[in-house]
Amino acid sequence: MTDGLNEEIQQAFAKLTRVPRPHLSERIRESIWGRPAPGTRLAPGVPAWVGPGVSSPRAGRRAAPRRVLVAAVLVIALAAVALLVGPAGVAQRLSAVRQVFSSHRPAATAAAGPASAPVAPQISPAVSASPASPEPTPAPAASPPPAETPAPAPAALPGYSCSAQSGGGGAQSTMTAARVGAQSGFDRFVVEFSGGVPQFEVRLQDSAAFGQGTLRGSAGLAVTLKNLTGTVYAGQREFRPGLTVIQEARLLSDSGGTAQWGVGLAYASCFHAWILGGPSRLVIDVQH
Amino acid sequence: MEVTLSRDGFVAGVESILDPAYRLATVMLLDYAAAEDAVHDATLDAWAIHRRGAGEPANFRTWFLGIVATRCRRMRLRRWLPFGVRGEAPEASDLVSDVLLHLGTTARVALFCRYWLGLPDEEVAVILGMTPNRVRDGIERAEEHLHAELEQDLGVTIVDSVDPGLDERQ
Repeated sequence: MTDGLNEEIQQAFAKLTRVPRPHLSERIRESIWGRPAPGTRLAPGVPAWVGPGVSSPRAGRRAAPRRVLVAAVLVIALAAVALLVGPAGVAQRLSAVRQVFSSHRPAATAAAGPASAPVAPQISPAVSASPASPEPTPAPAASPPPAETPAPAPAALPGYSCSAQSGGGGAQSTMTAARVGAQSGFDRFVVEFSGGVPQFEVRLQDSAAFGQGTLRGSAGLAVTLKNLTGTVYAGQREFRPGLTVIQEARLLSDSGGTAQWGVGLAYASCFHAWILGGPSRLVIDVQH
Repeated sequence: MEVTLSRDGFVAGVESILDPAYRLATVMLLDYAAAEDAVHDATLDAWAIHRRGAGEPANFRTWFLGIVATRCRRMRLRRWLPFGVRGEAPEASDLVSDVLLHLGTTARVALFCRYWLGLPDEEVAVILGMTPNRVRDGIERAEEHLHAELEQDLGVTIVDSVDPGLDERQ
């Protein structure tokens, strides 16, 4: 490679990238100092010894033998049971287990949660869960058999709540963007603002039907934003990502300084609404 | 760089390499805001690993950049959507930057690590999670592609080893 081209590549990268904003450093400091128990966001099996270049994929590879060990123990246990009760008995028990899991799938998923379930960052003290609001119920099961126990309400991981959550400031602002994404252990819905994050309320409901339409899924989150400037939102108004929990997000209404987003969920799940700055964002994490 | 287990030491270590980390994330994700998120989240990952670990990384920069790259790859794989639609994506301002933007992510990052960060192939390999040989091959292919694009555009052949005094002698 010639020196000239070498310099051209360097100049090109200089143009394509830029210096990080001071805000990023502040944000990192906030997160590090506001996080007393680090490590909960990582997948299990992160190595105790950390050397150069050690990253999560490698940690995943080191965790693999543990999974193999658990699988081997299960196989041995099944073989032992098969010897004791015979193949027909095993098949009968397996079908019973399958039945139990299928009838409790949404609740079981929420209650068990991933081993690497995230602890929601405690960044925004402005967000509060309202204890007075009724605890939402999971997707209703149509007349369950009397022998089965009813599906329990989704269990909230630390930092998550199924109660309505509200917060935000009084300053007027304008919605500029929204997006949906999958993260490890949770799905995320983000609304971005040009000013501060306005007054908001996020409420879980046991259906994906909203006054302005029905979204995909069997449960929903109603996200109400107040004190907006009234400027017409020009960003994307509908998402159908089909993630683990978030099936759809749609801007249901936007007028008179109040907007409502509907988020369709595959099943009722607890969530955590919090605020990030620079740019101002309302972040809603819905646990898997 | 030696990093103590204290938060201050860790944060200072991260801040000293925040610039290359953020640029690396931008080159991988092609989205300035997503790059900020990636570096922030990678820092939390790194802090968690650092606190759990009994040892200290011999080369903090390479170790941290590797975690940033891993976070960016995860964001891409998990389709943290959408990239570049927030109006904050890098834009090409000349032919070279245009070619770089249209390279594959790995090739672009490998070129960035070599030509911007000035890292040896071994460290680039650690950051990208691949072997040094693959890194070398990837960079060679990217350079060939760059040459081909520039030749096509300029209509001339770029000589790889130019004698700097040749023009003056003629």
